Amino acid sequence: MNAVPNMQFDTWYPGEARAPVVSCRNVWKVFGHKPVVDRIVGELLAERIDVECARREHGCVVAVKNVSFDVRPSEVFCIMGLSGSGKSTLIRHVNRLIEPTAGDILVNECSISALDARALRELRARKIGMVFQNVALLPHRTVEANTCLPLELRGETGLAAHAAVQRALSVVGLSAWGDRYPSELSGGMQQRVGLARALAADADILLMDEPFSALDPLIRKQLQTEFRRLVKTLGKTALFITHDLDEAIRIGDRIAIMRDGQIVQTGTPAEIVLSPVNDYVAQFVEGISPVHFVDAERIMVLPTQYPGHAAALLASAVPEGWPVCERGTLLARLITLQTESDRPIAVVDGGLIIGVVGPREILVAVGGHGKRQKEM
Amino acid sequence: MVFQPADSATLTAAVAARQSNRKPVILHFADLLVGPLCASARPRRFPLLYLLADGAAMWLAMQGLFGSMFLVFGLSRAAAIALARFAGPETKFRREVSAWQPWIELSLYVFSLATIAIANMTGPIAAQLSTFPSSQVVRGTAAASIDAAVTYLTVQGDVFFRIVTRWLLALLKGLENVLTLAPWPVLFAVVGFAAWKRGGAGLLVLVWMALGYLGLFGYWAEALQTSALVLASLCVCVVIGIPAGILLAKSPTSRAIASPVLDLMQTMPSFVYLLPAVAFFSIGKPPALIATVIFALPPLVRLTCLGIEQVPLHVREAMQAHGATPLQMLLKAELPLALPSIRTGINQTIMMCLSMVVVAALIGGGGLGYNVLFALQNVQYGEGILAGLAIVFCAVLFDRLAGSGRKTDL
Repeated sequence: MNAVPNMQFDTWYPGEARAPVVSCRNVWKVFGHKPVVDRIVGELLAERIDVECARREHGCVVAVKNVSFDVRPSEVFCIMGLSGSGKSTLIRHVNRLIEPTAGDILVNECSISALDARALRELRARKIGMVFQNVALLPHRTVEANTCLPLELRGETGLAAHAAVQRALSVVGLSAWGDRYPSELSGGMQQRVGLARALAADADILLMDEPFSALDPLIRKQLQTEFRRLVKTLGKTALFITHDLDEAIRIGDRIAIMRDGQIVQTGTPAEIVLSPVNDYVAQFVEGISPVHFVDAERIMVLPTQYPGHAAALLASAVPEGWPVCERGTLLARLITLQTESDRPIAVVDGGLIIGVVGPREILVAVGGHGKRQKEM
Repeated sequence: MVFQPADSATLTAAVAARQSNRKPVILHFADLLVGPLCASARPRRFPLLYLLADGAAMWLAMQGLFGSMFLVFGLSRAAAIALARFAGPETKFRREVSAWQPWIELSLYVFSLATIAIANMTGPIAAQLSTFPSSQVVRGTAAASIDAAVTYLTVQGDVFFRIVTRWLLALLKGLENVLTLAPWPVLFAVVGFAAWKRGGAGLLVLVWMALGYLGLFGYWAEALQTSALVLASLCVCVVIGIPAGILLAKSPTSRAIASPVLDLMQTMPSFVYLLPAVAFFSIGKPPALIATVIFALPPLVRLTCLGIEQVPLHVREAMQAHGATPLQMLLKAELPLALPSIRTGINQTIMMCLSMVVVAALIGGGGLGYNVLFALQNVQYGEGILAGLAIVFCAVLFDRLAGSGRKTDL
């Protein structure tokens, strides 16, 4: 299983060069009777027994199986999987709501399993914010008091805290609702309060546990867009759990696909959609339209290899009448360009032609997903 | 499928066949009377045994043992009917039941025969079998050792019990003074205002009517004494009960220990611990208060525990994820969310305190209970009923004022 299937596809991220903010190293989580788990975990790690055997013979459930990933600074990292794939369990390891059976989690390059109770509370209160699927607001507190909760828990109740709460509420657009109770709010608004609560603490890392899954599609889409914009403007790092690949693609810089407690594939949305590593991923990817996140660079062929025009293109100048586009032009735009002209499109960078996109490339990118592209 | 008229006849036949296939389980009177005989027709095993058993049963029935025979018939029929009812169409349970059924019936027959036989037998063995071997010595020793323990504790813990008595008396006297020193119009006004805030004009009228009854019929002083006792018990209950409930919710071990104790406190007849209470705290109001607390404490503990347990997991998770200490978790999330449940517990406790008033009067608790007791001892129906009504009105006052009044808050 290769994490990055094709180096050519790899794109640049804002914080790539810096150290990962969150990194999971070979994390295992086995649920079951404690002594039994302790006994079999060595066997499991050494692969002397498998998951099925652990369940059948020892009554233990392997929820997370040897998972490793890095979340880079200012990145939105999505973990996508169906229910029961262990994604919610995995995200709870990051702030140690669940202790890993084996493996280690580093936050800002510091192992959190070594932290004592006080340091852990400090980490949770200052560094890591979390938003839950069922919001988990306190019903007896107003929106403002709910938002204030993380500040209050770390003993900040002064004017500064009040200002931070107001700021967080205005960021999610709920300034006017501060003195209402959660029961008076719609589901979407409650989830905004949940987000505001996480933002009020001014944590660098946001853990989002299927925050938008219970909302209706229209609100969900709106919140997704808003969330991405927010995270990007505030420069937060987010770990986002979802069961919806559309959502993962819309929100994530990178996506990890989980199945049965394991990560099957990690990559950018385009990598996942264009070159799924196996049938399981391919099955998800089916029906995902790539027009909004695949760019010209990803689908172009080298000028010298473009059939029928190789000779003409050797000149490195754009032939007469050919439409021109940039490296990062999205597929949607390419389609428009192609419909307006009967010539192939030249991909140009600094006056030089670096690639060609013809109708064939566009069709393959739109209709044919990874499998078919590989067979070509 | 195309519907064909010819099929309908077949269909009806099939339905009829299926219906007749299902054993009708209807209780006939004749069935009840000759139950064993009817039932013996069903199981295929041991037909002769059943026949013999039924013969013997019929013979004994004719001998005049109708009472016990009807019991046995009834039991066997009820068991058969219950089994037939439970067993749905082709479930695992039904298969199991049909496997057990002969054995259950057989054991019923054996049991009935043995009962009848032993009831009719004479001689030393029969006498041994019909009465359980009891030992006066065991009971005597146990009771005596409990007596000795109580006496020992009374002597050894004298200082402790005195201190507790003094504290309780101080609490009681303080409350009583507050209530009795206030002129009645002031109490009318204060209670009325509270009622009006809580439930509007309707409640105000109800409360004033109840107070008016207590005053007009001359139960004013006693009602105040009773109220003081109830309020003092409630204070003690809250001070002990809510922390105990929190502890129970937090630690499974303590719950395992406390659960049977709570059951004991609730089911043990209250008269029984009046005696030790008297032994420890002498006659008067403090032992009455102790007895009341013991009786009224369990619901508050249980409901506090339940309320905290019912705090949703995701709320706990959210609190933890934002870095809450255990104390913060308790104060900011668990107790507020458990509040409705705790309120119900307090309401229950008040009601149970009031129901202990009459019993407490037996050891000098005074108040309205004494009026009821006096009326009972002197066979004064009218007085008894009026005093009982006074207790009811007290209960109404407490329930409406302290209880879970408005549904809308929280």
